[in-house]
Amino acid sequence: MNKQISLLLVDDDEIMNFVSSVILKRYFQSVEPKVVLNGKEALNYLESCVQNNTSKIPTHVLLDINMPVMDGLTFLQVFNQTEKFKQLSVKIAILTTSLRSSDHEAAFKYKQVTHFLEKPLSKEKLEEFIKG
Amino acid sequence: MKTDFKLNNSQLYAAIGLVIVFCIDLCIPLGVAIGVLYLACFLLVSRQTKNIILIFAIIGCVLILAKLAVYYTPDTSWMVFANRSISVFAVIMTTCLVIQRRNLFEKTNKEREDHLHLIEETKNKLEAFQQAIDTYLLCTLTDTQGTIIYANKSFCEIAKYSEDELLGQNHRIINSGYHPQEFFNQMWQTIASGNVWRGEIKNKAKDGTFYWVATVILSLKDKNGKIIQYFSMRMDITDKKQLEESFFKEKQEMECFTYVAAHDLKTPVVNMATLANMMEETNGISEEAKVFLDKIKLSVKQMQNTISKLNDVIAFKKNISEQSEDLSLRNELNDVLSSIEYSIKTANAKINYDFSEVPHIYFPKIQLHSIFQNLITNGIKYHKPGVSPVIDIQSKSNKGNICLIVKDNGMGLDLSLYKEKIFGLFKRFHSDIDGKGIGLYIVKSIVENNGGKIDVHSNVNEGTTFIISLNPTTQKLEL
Repeated sequence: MNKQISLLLVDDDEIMNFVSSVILKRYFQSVEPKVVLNGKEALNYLESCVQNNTSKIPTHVLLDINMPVMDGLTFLQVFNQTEKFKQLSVKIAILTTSLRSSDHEAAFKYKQVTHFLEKPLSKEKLEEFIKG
Repeated sequence: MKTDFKLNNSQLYAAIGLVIVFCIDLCIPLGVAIGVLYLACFLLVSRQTKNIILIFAIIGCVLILAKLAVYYTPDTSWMVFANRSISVFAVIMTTCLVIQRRNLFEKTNKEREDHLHLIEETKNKLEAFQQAIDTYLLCTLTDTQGTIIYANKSFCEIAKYSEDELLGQNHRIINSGYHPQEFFNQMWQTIASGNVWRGEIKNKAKDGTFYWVATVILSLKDKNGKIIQYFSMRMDITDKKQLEESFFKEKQEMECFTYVAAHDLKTPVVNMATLANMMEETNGISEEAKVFLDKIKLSVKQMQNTISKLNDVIAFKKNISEQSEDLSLRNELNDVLSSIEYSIKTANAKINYDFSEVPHIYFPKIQLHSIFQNLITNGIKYHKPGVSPVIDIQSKSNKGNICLIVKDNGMGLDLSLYKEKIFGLFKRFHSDIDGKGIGLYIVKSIVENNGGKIDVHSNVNEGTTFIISLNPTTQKLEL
């Protein structure tokens, strides 16, 4: 199933990132995750990928909402406004502890957002996101 | 009773008059009609009391007849008798006229005195009012342009201007710049149309300090109904405002604190739980370590439970401002039942409902869901051991109120012990059941926020009945 999956993990909580990485390593060995700590870093990474035109351009993004520097919702807004990202086909899942309905609604306004997952990440949740 | 025989001037002159007329009478022949001269004396006593007038009349009559008695001879003509009688008659007539006039005078005099008394009383009252107002209220009078034409002492004191500095100035002199222009536009609109304006205004004193006043502005009209002046009364509420501000700040801090506690703790706790699970799955972990691990997992679970409680309360506080809408009780209940289908099935619970009496309700949707969900899960959670839970839900109309009745067959509560506490935050009464202790708190808050009341009847082992009564007038029922 893991054909050409490249995953970008955007979360400021490093332990959560560690947990997510362990799950990926255990159950999705072919998926190579790239970890960044906030929305700004995610944008920078995506930009460098597009510039270098590497095969590593993320196909899936796991995005936290509450982050310092740039939060998840702002990331989604900037991502959608940036011309050079429009060619990318990316699936985004929100991964958060916030179950606020306002966050939920705001995130699903963006067409790339397909899932809203509650932390912690699990094998089942990830499978659903990658397969679905 | 002591009678005072002292004569005043007019009485004295009148008495002298009587004596003089009598002397003249004695000097001239009996036939002359001298009686008319006695009448002149009444001019002098006309302002005296009735008794004095009467005494003078009697003396006059006696003197007229005395002359006749002294000079009477058998030859005296009948004309003399007639003459004297006419004189006496004239005296009596004059007396009557004078007394009548006297009465009239007394009456108007009394009326005038009453009037004066009333005016005096009213004036005293007004002065007392003004004193009271001046002590407690800050008053100004302005013309229609807002120019100050009167300012009382309290007003000058708080604004820290002298009266001379204020008179002739526009009211803008104390404008703090705190309120937007629309605020004052709206105020002018209200008072210019003759209505009373009320509001709280932040003003600036001469030394630059600010003060808050609760203000009432009335328009004063002339007899044609045209507004000529505005009268404003204010009360100093600076202390109240400061208290409000600090209360608001504290409330915000508290909310922020709760949010941080609930939200920021969530991530590390989730991490701990996941790490503990992962650790359990690694190989080569000793039996002893497994026991510790179990304890860690238990502690984490407790923490998650507490955080989840806090989050429920926060979520509930967020929903409190939700708008009411016309809701079908049956539809909303069905929505709730399908969302908790799993726990209903697991507990083998039976939910009966009858909304035939009142099928609709005007209420905030999420809050109605919350009421149903909390009361039903409560009934399921606290069922009697070995007995499947049965919950009856009914809507009733009672004296114009709408009642929602939720009755379960659970273990019940001894209300003599818990009645005050049952709706409290984080209160639980059955330690062996995994409850959060916020359900009833939320239900009560929702009901009271919507102007209703909640009551509970319960006995140990006989189930619990919750009765929620809502007043359709306070919740604007629209059917």
